[in-house]
Amino acid sequence: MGSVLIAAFVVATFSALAASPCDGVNHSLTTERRAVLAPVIAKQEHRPIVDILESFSFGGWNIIYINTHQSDETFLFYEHDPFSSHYITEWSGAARIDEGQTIKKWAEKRAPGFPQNSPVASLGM
Amino acid sequence: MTDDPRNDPNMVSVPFIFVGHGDPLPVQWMAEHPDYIKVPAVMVPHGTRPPPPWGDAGVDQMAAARGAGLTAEPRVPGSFVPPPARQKRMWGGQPWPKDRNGGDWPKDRWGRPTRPLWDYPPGVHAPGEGVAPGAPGSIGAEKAIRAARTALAALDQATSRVFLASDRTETGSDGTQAPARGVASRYPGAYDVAQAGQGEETGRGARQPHLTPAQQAAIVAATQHWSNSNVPYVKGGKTIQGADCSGAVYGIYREAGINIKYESTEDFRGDPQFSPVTGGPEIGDVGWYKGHVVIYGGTTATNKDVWSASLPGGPDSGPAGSPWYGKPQWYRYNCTQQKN
Repeated sequence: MGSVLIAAFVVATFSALAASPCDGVNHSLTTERRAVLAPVIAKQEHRPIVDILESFSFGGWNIIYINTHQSDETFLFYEHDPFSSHYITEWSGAARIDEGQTIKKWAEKRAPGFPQNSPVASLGM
Repeated sequence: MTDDPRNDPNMVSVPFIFVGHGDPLPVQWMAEHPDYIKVPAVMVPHGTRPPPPWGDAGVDQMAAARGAGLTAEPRVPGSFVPPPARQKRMWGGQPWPKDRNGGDWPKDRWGRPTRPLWDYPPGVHAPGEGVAPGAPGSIGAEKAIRAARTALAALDQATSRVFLASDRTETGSDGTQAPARGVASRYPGAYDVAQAGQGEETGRGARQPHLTPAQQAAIVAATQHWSNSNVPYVKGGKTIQGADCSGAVYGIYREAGINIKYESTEDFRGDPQFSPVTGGPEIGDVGWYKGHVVIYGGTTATNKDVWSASLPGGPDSGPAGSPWYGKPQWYRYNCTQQKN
């Protein structure tokens, strides 16, 4: 279920895909990177502690999925490296699978320049 | 033997804590471990009990003490003076060793340094305390296992008695019959497994808790209030002025008079105030998805409803079987004896 939720969100936002909606999305997150990235994002979020749950990278953009322990888990959108730039927008909450188009429009508005050649339409969203 | 520690006969899965006689009850711990059972026990320290400060603990001295108005041992910290001979017997007259960091061990209630048995290196043991655990002839591990099994058997028996008590009724002063009140009335803060005969057994002496009808009605009313208030989605919000999904669960429960502690969605599964539901959901249960939580609203509509906070519009209701919702893991508030 969780993978469905996150996949729906990432598919609706990241988009340049081939056979799988997630092809080309770098999902790797090493323990070392998680450890050094957490305090950086905690400072950006003005929270004492932030846990990095997942990371998605594509086309120079990054989405970092975090737990602040004070709110819903949040997706942070970075146009550049999270170490050297502040996120440009964030998204938290829940979405149904049939809300993919709504989220895509939201991403186009809030994160201009985000990779857009999306297979979302072909997925029926 | 399986990988599941609950199936390991050598594992103790029942939460327990030793509380010294006369010490205050660990209220916080009790609230966080609602499944525990209080078992009266008499703990006798290994070896000779130190004499009371008024002299050797003979019958005559005790009688004299009672005559002087002392009806119980004083519980003033430091009032017990350890006999020097006991320290010599414990360590052969040698100074107490330092801990591995070169510091002193914590003192026990008689001012003696303590040292856990399991800290001894292999082959080394304290004089007079037997062989170190792990060494041939060790009494530590085997003794601990036997003690744990005995304790579990006692807990099972105690629990069984509680279940039997829950089936009985008691007659009130007005002559009406009511279910026996169970252990919670005697041990405030303990989860009342015998509460009014509610709950189904889930094995190993544990019972599935249930929200009371009053609590369910309060949650329904609070959620309808939130649904009718167009609560905006606010990340980190926890009030009717704005909330996210985890904040909505927190706020709705609080409005219903159930003072739960806030947990983010990811942290919710570790919340000791909620227990996984083994059967179907009931009104007020919290459904957990990865990244989302909802409140179950029953079957009043065409489908099983859940209340959810999401973009846009805040809490709203929807069918539990919609494509997004799927099958959550349901959790139920388990502190039904909490004073709200």
